[in-house]
Amino acid sequence: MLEAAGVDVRFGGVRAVSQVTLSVARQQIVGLVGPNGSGKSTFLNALTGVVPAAGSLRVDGRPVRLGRPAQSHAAGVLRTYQTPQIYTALSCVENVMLAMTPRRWKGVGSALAIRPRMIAAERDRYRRAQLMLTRVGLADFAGTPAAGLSYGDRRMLEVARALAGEPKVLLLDEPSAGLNEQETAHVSAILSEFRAEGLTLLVVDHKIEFVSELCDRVVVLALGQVIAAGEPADVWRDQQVIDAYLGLEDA
Amino acid sequence: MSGSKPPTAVGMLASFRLPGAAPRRGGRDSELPGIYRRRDYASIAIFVLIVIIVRALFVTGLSGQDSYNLWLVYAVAALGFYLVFGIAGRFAFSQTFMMALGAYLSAWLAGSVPVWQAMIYALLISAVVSLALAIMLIRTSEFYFGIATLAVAGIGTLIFQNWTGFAGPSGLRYDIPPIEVGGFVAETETDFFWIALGCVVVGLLVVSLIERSPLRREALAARDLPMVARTLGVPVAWIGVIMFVLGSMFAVGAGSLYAHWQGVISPDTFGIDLSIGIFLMAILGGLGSMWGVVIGAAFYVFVPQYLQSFSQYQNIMYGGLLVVILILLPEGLVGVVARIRDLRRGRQHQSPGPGGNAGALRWLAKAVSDARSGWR
Repeated sequence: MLEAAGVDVRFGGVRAVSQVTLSVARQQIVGLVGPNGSGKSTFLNALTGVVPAAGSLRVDGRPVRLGRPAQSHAAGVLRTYQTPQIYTALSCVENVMLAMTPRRWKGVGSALAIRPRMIAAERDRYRRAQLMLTRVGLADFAGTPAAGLSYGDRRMLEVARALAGEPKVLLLDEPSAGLNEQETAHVSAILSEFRAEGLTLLVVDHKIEFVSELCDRVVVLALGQVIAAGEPADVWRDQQVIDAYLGLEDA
Repeated sequence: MSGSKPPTAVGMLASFRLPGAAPRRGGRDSELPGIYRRRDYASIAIFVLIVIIVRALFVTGLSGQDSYNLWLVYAVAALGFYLVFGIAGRFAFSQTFMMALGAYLSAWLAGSVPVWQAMIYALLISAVVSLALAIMLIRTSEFYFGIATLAVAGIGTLIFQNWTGFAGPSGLRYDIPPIEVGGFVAETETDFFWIALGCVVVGLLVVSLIERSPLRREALAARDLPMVARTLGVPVAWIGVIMFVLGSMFAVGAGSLYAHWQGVISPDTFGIDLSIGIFLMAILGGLGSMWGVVIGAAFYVFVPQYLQSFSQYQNIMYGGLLVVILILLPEGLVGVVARIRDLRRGRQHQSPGPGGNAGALRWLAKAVSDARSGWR
């Protein structure tokens, strides 16, 4: 579903991501792990066009030009951020409505002249957004300003917003960061549910148990390069991964 | 999936509504974001009544009527600034250039076509000009945009001063004919008052329609976190362009109203003082809603006149008042209304999220830090 090949990101002389090749099959959940600064988030930034990058990306077989956020979005690649990037000036439901496609009846013409169609489209978006909020457990917050949400709820709102964009591939940047065990289990359950419905996921995270439980495959990055890939249990036994990332367990 | 019902024919008919009809309360309107439940048409009607009553009761003499009309003209330009800066977060110093462009264009065109046609052509031509400008400035953001528009205003002033054939000697253009619509010639202050009021109402309606549409949501998204908006498929650059063109159209309308009302224009009429003045109107009145800039424009026009009795201390008094308002009322004069309403309902006052002054100023502060860190 998602095939990235030879992805390179440079910041001046620093090669933050070098020649990363990674693919995620349809309905698969792949975990991307690695020590801090290994280029995980930068890799997601490259795939979503947030930073300029070299390399190639194919989504569902179709090539996507890197470095263009709009193209990545159009190809069905949506994402969340390490720190939830929600719009505090908007209500929760409006946050979710932002990502929705198609973009018909959103322009200035329909705002000023074709209002009945525009309003009908807005009702439809509202209904879908409400449904999505319900699924992530924020049903009661539709009209609340997003500024009033707790950290965990902001994260869920971001997930709901990305899902509302009907992604083919959803990229999650540390979905469990800052969440307690119960919330982490909640996130895990919701993501598995969406996978069962056909969603493909690439998940960057630090929590080994969370990744092991959720992911079918794990890719390990260190210093911007892939050092291991495979089934979680095998990868955790890899000596290079232990050296670079996991360290030795006590006892 | 529970909760979603297939649309029925009756339901679809019920959701159909005429563009001008007032939003219904409850019912299916509960299925739209809160902003759609705002009763703007009622507010605009009440506003019109108040403006008419206040004029009848308190506005006397020619200079009083003149200021009252000036307020309405400035309110139109300030509403445009509200769209460009308040909603889209683009710090445009070009509002006065657009006013001048509207004024000179329609004064010039009025030499060959009827005034109402001249005004419409002026609007159309300036729409093209502002579109070209917006596309030229598409890659500039925040302060760079502000400075670029300031430069445009400066160049504009030079052109109007020196292009004698178009703008008159030294940009001084006089004997501009008054507005004439179907035999009705707006010759007196009272005639012009009705036309200006009509234009303010049209301006308020347009802003209200924009705010109760997906455009406001996307413009706020593009303003607050542009890169995130791009990854959500929001056409950030295009929204900046369209809001700039819309806002500029308001200024063009205001400028051409001014020209045909006063009959005389010069580059000084639309100088840097007024550029800063429009910004003051927005900040003083508050960017929390479109009413803020209307109230701010009133403050800008009337308060200096009341302070005239302080003769040489006038400027000090005015400056002091500005500082006091900015400190005590961070959401502007319009924030007072929300504050009183919340007090009466006995709840804690919450600053309005969408682009209150706090929002705009926080945005400015963020712009500074972004510009310094160089991350775009």
